[in-house]
Amino acid sequence: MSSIAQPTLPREPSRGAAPAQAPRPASWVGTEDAWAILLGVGLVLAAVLAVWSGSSIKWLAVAPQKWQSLGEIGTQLADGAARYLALFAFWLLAFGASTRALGIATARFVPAFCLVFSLSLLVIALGAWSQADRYNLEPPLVALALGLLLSNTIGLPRWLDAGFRVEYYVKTGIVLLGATLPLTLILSAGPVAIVQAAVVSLATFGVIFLAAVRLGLEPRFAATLGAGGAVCGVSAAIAVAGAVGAKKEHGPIAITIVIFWAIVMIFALPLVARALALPTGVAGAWIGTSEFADAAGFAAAQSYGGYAGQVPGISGSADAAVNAFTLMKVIGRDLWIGIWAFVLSIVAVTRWESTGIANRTGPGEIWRRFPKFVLGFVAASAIIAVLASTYGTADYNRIIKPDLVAPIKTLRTWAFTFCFLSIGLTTRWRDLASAGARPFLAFTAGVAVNLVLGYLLSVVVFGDHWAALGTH
Amino acid sequence: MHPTLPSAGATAAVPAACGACRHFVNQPLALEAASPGLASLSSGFAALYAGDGLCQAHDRHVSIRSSCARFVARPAA
Repeated sequence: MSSIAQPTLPREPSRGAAPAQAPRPASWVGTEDAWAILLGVGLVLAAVLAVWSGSSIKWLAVAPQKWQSLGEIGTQLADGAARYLALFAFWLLAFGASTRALGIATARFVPAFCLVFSLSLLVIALGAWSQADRYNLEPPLVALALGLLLSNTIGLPRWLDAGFRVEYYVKTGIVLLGATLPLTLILSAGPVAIVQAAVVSLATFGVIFLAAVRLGLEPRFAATLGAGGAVCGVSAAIAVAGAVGAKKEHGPIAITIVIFWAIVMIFALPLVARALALPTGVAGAWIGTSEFADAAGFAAAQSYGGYAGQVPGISGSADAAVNAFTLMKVIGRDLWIGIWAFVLSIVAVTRWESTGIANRTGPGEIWRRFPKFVLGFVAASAIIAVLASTYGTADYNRIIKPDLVAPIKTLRTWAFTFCFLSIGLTTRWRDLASAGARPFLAFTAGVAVNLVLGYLLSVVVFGDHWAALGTH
Repeated sequence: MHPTLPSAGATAAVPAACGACRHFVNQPLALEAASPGLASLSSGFAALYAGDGLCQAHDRHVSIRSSCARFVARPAA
């Protein structure tokens, strides 16, 4: 059985080697979540202060606008060169300083982020092309496909991975999303999302777990697979692996299978939903129950939102797809990983064969494993809610929407594009662990149930609710 | 019986947790290197891992608060 060596340590160990450094503390201070909250809420507060002082951050929040000819986009970029450079400098400083604090070498991060920003500009500009919808060039899908192409054909030096921080970018984007998702919507639609997600998650976990055990896999592995399919993808799989004491080789297998299905769903779910002409809110909810990772789900939901007003028969707003997804995935599923880990650790200790390791679990596990970035998401929403309460509707639409909400949305789009590109750039199929037929079959059984049940609940049972999201 | 560490001022010794063991690895970049694909849709720096790591003695994912009879104290830095 392979084991990790303990050499003396480079700051960033080579593949498979482990540094003999002091262990990282269990505290969430100094994690990507903490930095995403700092950066995201910081941006929102800066935007608020700018508006209060009669200014706006919209000069910084630049992005390519609709264009028809290469000359047009060329002129746009040339005219806005100073803004694009300022935006690049801002992101580089913010992400560069924080990743340095996390322990990622700046000398590696800087060139990697230059690549990420350049490709993101290309992707966002392509998405603004007047013919983009005709050729289905949705920016999230283009970003993912471009990243996959580069990493699996040409190949990039592995040290560039320092700048392809998928989770950090998506968490920052989610915190910024909080500022554009009304707190009243979280409070009113959240309970439905929680109920729907609970039904689908419990059913999906049950199917995967039972199928895995019936196929002869050990229960700790089955639980790892189940959490990956039912809760929040790779993060849930590894969190539960730690909570129940799964074998080291089972984590990478679960990761491989989750990545495979997550990427399939990024392309498949929007296509199928489009064929069914689902309203954007309904599709967003379905994607929220049937995608396996936040990053992948936002790619799918944002893609579908791009069909709003472009594809005949698809009703709803672009925001409704992303909002519904966020409510279902972040509020309905991500939030509860601590409870899953706690319950499964109790089951592991009391019901499954001992591994010789005593796991001191307790209710504190629920908070320790709480995805802290969600606090930033809620805080951002609360800040805007408080601000909005001091404006009348007319002034809110005249000042807050264009000078605060719109630039925050633009910055969010950049963060998500960084994320989607990074998914592709870090997914090297050759490097992923071989999954094996039994784990794959067990997980796939859960995928099938998840898709059907998620569709029934999103379209039939709660269809009216999701279709009307944000219209009240 | 699991190894224990003396706790100052207490009559009962505190079980030695994985976090203090030389077999335990939980540095984020090491976890990413040991788990191909972890950084594609997650991260070694995620808060929800709460200090989880890999035990090189048992070849298992473990919580930083776990303990076992194969504990070996990590050398002081």
